[in-house]
Amino acid sequence: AVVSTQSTGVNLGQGFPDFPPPQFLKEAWSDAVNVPSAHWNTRGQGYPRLVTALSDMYSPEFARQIDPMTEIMTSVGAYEALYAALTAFTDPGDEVILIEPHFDSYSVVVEVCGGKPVYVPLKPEGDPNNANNWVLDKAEFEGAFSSKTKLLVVNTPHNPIGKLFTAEEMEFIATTCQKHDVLIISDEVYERCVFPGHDHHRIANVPGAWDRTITVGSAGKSFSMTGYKLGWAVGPQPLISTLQAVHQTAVYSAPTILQEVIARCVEREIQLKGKEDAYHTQLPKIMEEGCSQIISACKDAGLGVVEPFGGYFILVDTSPLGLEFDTSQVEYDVQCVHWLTEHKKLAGIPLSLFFGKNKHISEKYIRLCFAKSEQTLKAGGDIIRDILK
Amino acid sequence: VKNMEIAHADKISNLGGPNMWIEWGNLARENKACNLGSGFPNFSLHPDLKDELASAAENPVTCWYTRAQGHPRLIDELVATYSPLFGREITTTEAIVTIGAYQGIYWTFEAFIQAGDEVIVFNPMFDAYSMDSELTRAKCVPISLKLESDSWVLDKELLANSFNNRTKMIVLNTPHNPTGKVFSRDELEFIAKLSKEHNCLVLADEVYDRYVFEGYEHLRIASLPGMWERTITLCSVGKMFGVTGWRLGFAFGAANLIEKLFRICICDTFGSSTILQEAVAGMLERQRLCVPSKESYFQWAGKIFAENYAKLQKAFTEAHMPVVRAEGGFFMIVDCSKRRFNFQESPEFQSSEEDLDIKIAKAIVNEFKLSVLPLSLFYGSNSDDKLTSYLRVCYAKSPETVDKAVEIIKSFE
Repeated sequence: AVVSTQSTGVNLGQGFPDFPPPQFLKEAWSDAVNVPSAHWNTRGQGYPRLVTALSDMYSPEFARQIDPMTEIMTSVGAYEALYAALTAFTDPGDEVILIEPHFDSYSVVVEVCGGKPVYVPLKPEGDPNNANNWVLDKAEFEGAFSSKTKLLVVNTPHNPIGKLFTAEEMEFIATTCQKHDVLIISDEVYERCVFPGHDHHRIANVPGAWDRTITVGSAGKSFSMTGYKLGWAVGPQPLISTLQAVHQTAVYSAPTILQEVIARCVEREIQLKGKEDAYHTQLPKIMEEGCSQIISACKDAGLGVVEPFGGYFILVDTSPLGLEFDTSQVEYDVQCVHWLTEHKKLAGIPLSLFFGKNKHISEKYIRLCFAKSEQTLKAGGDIIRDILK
Repeated sequence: VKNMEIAHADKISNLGGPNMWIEWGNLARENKACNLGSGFPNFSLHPDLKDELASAAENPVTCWYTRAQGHPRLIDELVATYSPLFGREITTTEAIVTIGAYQGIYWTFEAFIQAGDEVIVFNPMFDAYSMDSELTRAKCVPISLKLESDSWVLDKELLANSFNNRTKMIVLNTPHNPTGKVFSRDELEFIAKLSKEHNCLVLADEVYDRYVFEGYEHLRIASLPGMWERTITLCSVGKMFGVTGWRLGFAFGAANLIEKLFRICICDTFGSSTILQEAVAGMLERQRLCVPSKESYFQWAGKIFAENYAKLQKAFTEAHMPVVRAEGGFFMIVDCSKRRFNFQESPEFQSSEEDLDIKIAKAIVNEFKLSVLPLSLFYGSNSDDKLTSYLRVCYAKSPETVDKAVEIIKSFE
């Protein structure tokens, strides 16, 4: 349930950038549209030019030679890759560990498959105003595994907290999964939105984890074009071929023309890797800048924030607003978001929506999206600064 | 490696096996064949589509998510375009955008079909229907169309006897792939009557709806009395505008049916790309507003298909391969048993136990570099009455491709 306020307010709720697309996208289109076969059916598992480019991009990052034809599958958004991964492996009665707060589609799909989500929370240890301090309780995490545990989903950079899982955390999670022979789905859609100076750690790179991990990526998030709905899964052939069986049945293939366009975008990134002009050099700075604008506005308004290190989102502690609600039926943060929309024309998302079980942790947090245009950030910032008036 | 023991979900056990499209696509590719096997047009992008795509790419909103059920501009255009086609005022909750009609088929099975249900389909058939029956553990009940002196006939008694209290759905594909049959009003009314009597759903796969030959009319079963509330109609952008790579389609039906499809939508893909939906909305609008003095896309493409059909019919007939009259759609059925090819003399050919049409189609692609598909592939695995002497030929191709094919056919020996 997204509360959005069209032209009469500022939407910092849903996670999509509203700034213009990168310039090179236009050029990619004008070339791509003239490739006749880009408008026809293609290889279901992925358009050759795109899977080749993805392999070239990812092989160094996974420190292995990724086979484009067998170890990559393109999909209708990362959303469909997640659907394929969960559906391919979840039987009725299987348990799937979800680290919460979590992106809502994970539990929806698990339940549709007749599986049982098992929630393990991230909780602040020490200063809650630092996203990386929201951590798993190791004993609680290990205790969540049972003989029925089939899969685990981990998301880094994390939506909604903005946490970057550390190498040690990835190793701990991977080792536990290995001990219980559990498959890992790693949702890394925000991998190109890691703030400068911070590191993205891939669980598939933990020694021994590649063989049990499906890594999901997104063109929409990597190139600020969420409306394109083009993503992918990377992993060992036995796992990818199983995802492919679902993909082949549900959609057959993602649009060829979009894969042609995105192949060109990926190739450009490979050519410009590490240089100023690379979009993946610029995007982290754009995200960090947007984030700091929201943080600055929140601090001016006396609101607490959980400072993130990547992704699109920031958690804002609304307790200083001093709002009082009857929480016997509806959570505080849900009512708070409604209040903000109605009275301040500012849309956010209540944190409790991201919890399947431990909603009490969400307390008074709301999630705001900072992956927005200058104009939206300024308008949002102005509302936030005036909020206590 | 331990992960090899990570079992896939039981539900997908029947999926992902050898796929006819992959196998025969590979054969065509390896031989760099003139391809009349694959069922999609290989036109260059029509200038109007190119314009719409360029406008859509310029529009910043196309970088953003749109409504999962369908981009508002496209849904509004669907209502405007299809209301007259269905003869009713369609509302915005009675349409949903799909990733190709293919996803429409998947959603319909996932939303409505359970283990033990029976699904009636007409043989020969597009393989997705039997595949999705297997996925949902339903029983696929194929009713073979009978080939009687140059037309495909529906055996009404056989059909009526196939319904029972487990029958949940009947799939009606018209214009029909692979036969090219356009179901008549009488046949539609008969099917409608049975589906109402047995309270069944109808999945009307009408992806070739814009292309029927002169003298025939595409009729929509959903517009018959009492049928809108039990029919899901699928249409295809890919087939209608020659852009199967865009992966876009539509499903129409009563709001309560569409709502069920939407429940699957929010699980598997949560909507389609904004940019392609925007471009298609513009293209549909152009067709709808096309003045009678100007040629619509459908008229333009339809003329090409008719010319292609005539050329191929002549070429095959002269090669002693009689053509079963096609009424609409993209395909013609050609009898390959009335002449002898030289390759049929070879010991490999004679000793092979594959069906005749499969052997001939493989030899034609390997020796003559022309790809066509054997009709027997389109019969479900539990069909004991499949025809094995015919080839499916796609004439919905560019004139250049068809001209090349004609030259090849002339060289058959």
